[in-house]
Amino acid sequence: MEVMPTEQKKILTQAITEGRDKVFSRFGKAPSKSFSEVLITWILAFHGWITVFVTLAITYVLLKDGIIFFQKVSFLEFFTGTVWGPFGEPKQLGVLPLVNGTLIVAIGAIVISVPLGLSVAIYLTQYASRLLREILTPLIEILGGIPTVVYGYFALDFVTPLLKKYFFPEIDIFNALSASIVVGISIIPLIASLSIEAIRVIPQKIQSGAYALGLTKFHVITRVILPASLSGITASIILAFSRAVGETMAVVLAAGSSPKMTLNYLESIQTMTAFIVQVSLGDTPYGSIEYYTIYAIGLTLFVITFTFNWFALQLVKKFREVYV
Amino acid sequence: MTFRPDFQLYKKYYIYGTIFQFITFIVNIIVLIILAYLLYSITYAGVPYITKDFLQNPPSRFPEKAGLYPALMGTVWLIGLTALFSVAMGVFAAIYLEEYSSKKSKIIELIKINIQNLAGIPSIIYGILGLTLFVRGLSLGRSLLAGALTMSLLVLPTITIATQEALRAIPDSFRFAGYGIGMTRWQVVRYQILPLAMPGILTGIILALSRAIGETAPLIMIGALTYVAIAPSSILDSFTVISIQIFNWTSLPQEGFHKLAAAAIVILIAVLLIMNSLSIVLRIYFQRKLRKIQ
Amino acid sequence: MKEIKIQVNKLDQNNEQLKTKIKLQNVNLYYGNFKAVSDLTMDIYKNRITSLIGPSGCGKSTVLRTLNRMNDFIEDFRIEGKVLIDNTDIYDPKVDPVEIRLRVGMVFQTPNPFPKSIYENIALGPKINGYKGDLDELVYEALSKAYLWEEVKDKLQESAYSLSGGQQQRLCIARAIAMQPEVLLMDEPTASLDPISTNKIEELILELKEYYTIIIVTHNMQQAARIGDLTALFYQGKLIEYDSTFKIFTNPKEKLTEDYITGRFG
Repeated sequence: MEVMPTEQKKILTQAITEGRDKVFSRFGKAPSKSFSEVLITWILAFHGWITVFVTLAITYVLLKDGIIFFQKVSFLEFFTGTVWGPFGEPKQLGVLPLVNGTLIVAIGAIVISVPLGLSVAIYLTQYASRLLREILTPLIEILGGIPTVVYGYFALDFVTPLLKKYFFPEIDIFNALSASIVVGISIIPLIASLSIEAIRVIPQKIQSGAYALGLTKFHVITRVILPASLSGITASIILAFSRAVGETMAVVLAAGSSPKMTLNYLESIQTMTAFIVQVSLGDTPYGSIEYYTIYAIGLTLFVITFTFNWFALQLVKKFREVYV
Repeated sequence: MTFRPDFQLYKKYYIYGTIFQFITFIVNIIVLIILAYLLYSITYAGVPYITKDFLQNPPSRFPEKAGLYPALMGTVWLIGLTALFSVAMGVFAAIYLEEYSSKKSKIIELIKINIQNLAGIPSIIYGILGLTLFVRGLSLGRSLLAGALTMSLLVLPTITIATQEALRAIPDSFRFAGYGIGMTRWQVVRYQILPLAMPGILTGIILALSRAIGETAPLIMIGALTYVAIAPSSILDSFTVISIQIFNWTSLPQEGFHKLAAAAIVILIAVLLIMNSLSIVLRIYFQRKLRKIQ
Repeated sequence: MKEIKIQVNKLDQNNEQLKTKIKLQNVNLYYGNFKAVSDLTMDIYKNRITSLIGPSGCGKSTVLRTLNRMNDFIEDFRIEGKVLIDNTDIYDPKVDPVEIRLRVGMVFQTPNPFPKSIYENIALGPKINGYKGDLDELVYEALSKAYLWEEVKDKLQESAYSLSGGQQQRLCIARAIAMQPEVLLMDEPTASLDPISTNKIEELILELKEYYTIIIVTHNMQQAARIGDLTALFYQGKLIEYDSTFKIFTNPKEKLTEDYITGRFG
């Protein structure tokens, strides 16, 4: 057996008694405290915080110029006024028509996408074979990957003429229905994928328990699985709604630029997002009240979507944790 | 107890079950038909117009002469620049959040939630941000640089989240193996974790960039013009992209321009399909690799 | 193969005639190409507790799941031979598995109550299967039989997950017996529970045999000895010995049985 030379023994003892740093100081700094290591850590930390800066920046930008707007236009007028006419004289700045437009398109989109998306989710998780699942899932995802400007084109050139020819001859060229339909189609994959996840987290043993009790598949699905996945499915609906609210290009192209308070899907309307685009495309002078409407509406939009997203994320967290 | 199951009832439930299965199946078919119709009708409308001239000409007031060239170049420049900024930012941010910070820290938890929230914010709001901060604030004007910076912020959350998931998928045993032989944290990340996570990270990047290609609203906000005659030659030039060209042509009344829009859409979708297929291949490769090392 | 018969006069202290509830005849069970159980022939008797014991992987759980056709859910499962309950072959194409499961209840290894209230867990099955009477009373009876009523009577609407492991398992038992099965299958029901809960549930099972035919798979030999009337030892897919519990544990016929009982393997 080799005996450790005295010199080595001395260093070892010193290490134990005086700590690692002292030992390394004989050869250089502790590796994890070296300059490059520390620098890298700081760089990474900086990047970690960038997203916080982004959120703060968005909030700051919207608030700063939004406040300027609200100094000139009262909250009451803006949030309760039912006429939106910022380019006419006298200027009427009630945002409700735009909110109306946004809401009817979003709700229409949800009405279409939820039954379709849920059925897709149920079929894929409960009835489809593994092969079928592997093929269908990416195909459905394609629907979600198509840019919204393409959906706008599709609505204008295909959906509206179809609707006009076979269903509603009196429909406007720009109308809320076409926009709702294509936005609905675009969010089907979102609802389907989140619902699929909500169903998948339910442990197998709960399903086994239900079958062992003598329930048929129909009831296992409708009375056990679906109720159990409800919070996840709700989260998917909220997220989808939020997405529909923020939808821009499809509504710009297909829904029109006539802000009005209406429930008639066959008419042209204007959404909040579409109006913001309209202002950007035009020659609105910087500093004018029209210019600041971007910020006021942007702020409203941000608050709505941020709140909905936050709720949805809480629900998602909850359903991922339930089955310990 | 007086209960005895009714042994006839469940037969009725079998019928319900079959109807239910049938309905959900039909809905799947309907969704596929919608997809097919969408792709087919646009392809049918647009493919005839994809000519050499179309790809090389600048836009024009006359549909017969109009082309996609500046938009194509603009898209290439924009995505390239966006990738340059956002990939590094997103990957580094994810590395910090997953490898360098305590899992118990509430602040880090909040940052992660914040990122998920940012991913869901409408893109037009990023446009407003870009307009105020880059176009006006930094006086970059309606330039590629302003556009790329704006788009980088837009795709940043997506890349970060995808990278986080790729990193999380690597089992801890790899980290411990590195630490066990005295590697520093960065060495573990650089030599152990990143090489393994790379396919997953690339998948996320490709997906994020493919979303960026289709984005229109934020670029309209920062002023990417709808009528640009030449391709950009520097990052401070004004520019346009395919999606805005599509928007522009679709907004015009002439039928001829609508056909051009369809043609441009076909090109755009083709590019997207290629990118998505690439990301799917990468994802499968990543999953296989993970399974082998477990 | 050997036929294993039980002599009546060796069995029951009360000298009661044993009635056959379930008959397995030359049953072979396969998962794909793997033969999990070979040439099984045994009778299971009414209103008795039959314990299936044996080391891990010997096929006892497979046999249990075959009795209520839960193995149907496993893709490459195959059965040869006959399984007769009250003289009806339950694998006959004309027989509906759902009806089997309405007559043969099951309690699983780890408690698996539905993500619903305690009340709903019990009430759901009967509701769907046509019970028109007083649900409150049915829930009360089931919970009382399972010795859970006193502990949960004030929180029936709370989630089943608010109960402890032992209580959840008793809830699962109550849920199963609310369906009034004829046979009760229990797959290592106390495996995940602490000794006190185990004790409570074992006493419960002993009382339940008055109403049901009970078959219990257990890893725990002492449990089999405590509550089983009859015990069957399985090893590598084969039935080694099947006799009254008393006989198995005091004077086993097979060497393998003796080795297992004394802990030489498994």
